[in-house]
Amino acid sequence: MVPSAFYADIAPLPIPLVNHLFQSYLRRFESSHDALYTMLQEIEEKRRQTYLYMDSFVRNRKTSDAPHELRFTPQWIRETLGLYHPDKRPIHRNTYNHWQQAGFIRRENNEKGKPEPDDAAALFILRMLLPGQRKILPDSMDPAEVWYCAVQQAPGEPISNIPISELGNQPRHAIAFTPWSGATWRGWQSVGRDQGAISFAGMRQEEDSTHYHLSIDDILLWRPDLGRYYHPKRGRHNDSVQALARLALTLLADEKI
Amino acid sequence: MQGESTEYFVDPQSIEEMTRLLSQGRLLTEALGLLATRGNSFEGINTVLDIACGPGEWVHAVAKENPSIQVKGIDISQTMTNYARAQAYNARLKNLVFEVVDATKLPLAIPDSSFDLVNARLISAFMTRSLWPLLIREAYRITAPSGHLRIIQEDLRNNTNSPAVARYNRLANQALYKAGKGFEPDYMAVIPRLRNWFADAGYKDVQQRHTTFDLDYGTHGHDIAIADYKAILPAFHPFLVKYGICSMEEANSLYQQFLQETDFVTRPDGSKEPFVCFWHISSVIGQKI
Repeated sequence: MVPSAFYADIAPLPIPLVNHLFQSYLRRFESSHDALYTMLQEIEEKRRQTYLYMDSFVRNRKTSDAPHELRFTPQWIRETLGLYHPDKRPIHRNTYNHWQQAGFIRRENNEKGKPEPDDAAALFILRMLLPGQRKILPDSMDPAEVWYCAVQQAPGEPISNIPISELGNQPRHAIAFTPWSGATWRGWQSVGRDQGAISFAGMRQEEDSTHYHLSIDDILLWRPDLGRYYHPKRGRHNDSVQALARLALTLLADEKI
Repeated sequence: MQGESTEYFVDPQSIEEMTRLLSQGRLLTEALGLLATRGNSFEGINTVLDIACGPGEWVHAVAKENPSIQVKGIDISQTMTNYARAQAYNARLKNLVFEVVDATKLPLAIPDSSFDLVNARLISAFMTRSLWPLLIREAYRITAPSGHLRIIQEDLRNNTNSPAVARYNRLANQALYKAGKGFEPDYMAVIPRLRNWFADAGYKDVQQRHTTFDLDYGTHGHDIAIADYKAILPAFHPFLVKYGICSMEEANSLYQQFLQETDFVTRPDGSKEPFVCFWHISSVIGQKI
């Protein structure tokens, strides 16, 4: 089993998938330490590659006039995963349906025909890490299993790893960060081109923008130096808070990721 | 031609190869600019073709910075072309198109004098000894009057203090030579021939510029280079084995040695010194007058 201290490092893979993957590394290495270390390095590499490839397709998914082949769809998943299938052919529709029923590919916002991008990313990473292998998944997975992120509630507080589904239960001023750049698809702020993502817990994704539900004090808790930039003119308080929230996250990313 | 193979030495459909080419391309563009010659000016250029555009990093940048220019990228990889198209669509670039084309199958289905600029960067992976002059002649046909051909090439002659990287260079060149891609067993030797091929095809005012990238430990280029090596070296092993250069076991062992030398190299006396590596490339441009 992968130690829980590493849960945030393996995003976007849910724990059951990583433990399943880890077994193949343990078979390759005599030392469990070497197996873990190598797996973490290789996950990091494939994660970055997966994000870089998927990003444009995922961002095009909500664009109704985008050509079908340029959008993230079930067919796109089947064809792209097929590049790595030992037979070099698209994943069969029945196999895809089975993966859905088994809990590996969930629906984004429970919408039919709209797969969750993080789940597809996890499958791609697994597929690339298990070349030549036909069966890359365990028999099933609880659909409640999600990937983990790192969270810190206040400066100086310990950093803990939590399931992404529990981020909404955190204080709004808590910051969350992850090496998984695909979190930007949920409205998180990107760190570099592909180095991860960061967000305040008090965040809501609205269409193509991110809105932070924060007070100025929430931001100054982390970056008191930004107080000198807060001089909102009448009616512009929210604009100032949003801008400073983004700046604070950019500065905090240098420390956290 | 007998003994020559246009086969790409790794899987051109793989995401790993695509992301490797993205990073490599960005390094080139950051260091050289989009055109490297003509003062990096696209003045007078209305149409651009990039041969073997890969994931489209260069054409994307050209199209974005020059919205009045019509840009086209061609590549044999469906994966890379789809990615490039998705990127272009996402960025709302109306002046950029892509097509899946095998650039080794000549003549290209492109009318004469179609493009003001024909570009090709680091295409030696699929080029063969006999194909080079033919492709350059074909480029001349599709270059518009007063237009240009620009080729960027490397000859796999990296200077390095890493024994593993040096050995990889030797093995790779031997395999590429056997595959009909290089002119010498110990380096590609394409760069010294480019200007003459340009001239033979009819290009005038041929200019060549050499650039050396510092990939030493601690430099920005080092991080990109090591990531590039980590992506390409294991994928290259089957190619080495196919041409009888080494066994898979030897290749894997060499890769493990490389992993020990990415930051510091062990001297004969057992002490360590930082990784040093210089990447030499050449940019050649000629005009159809």
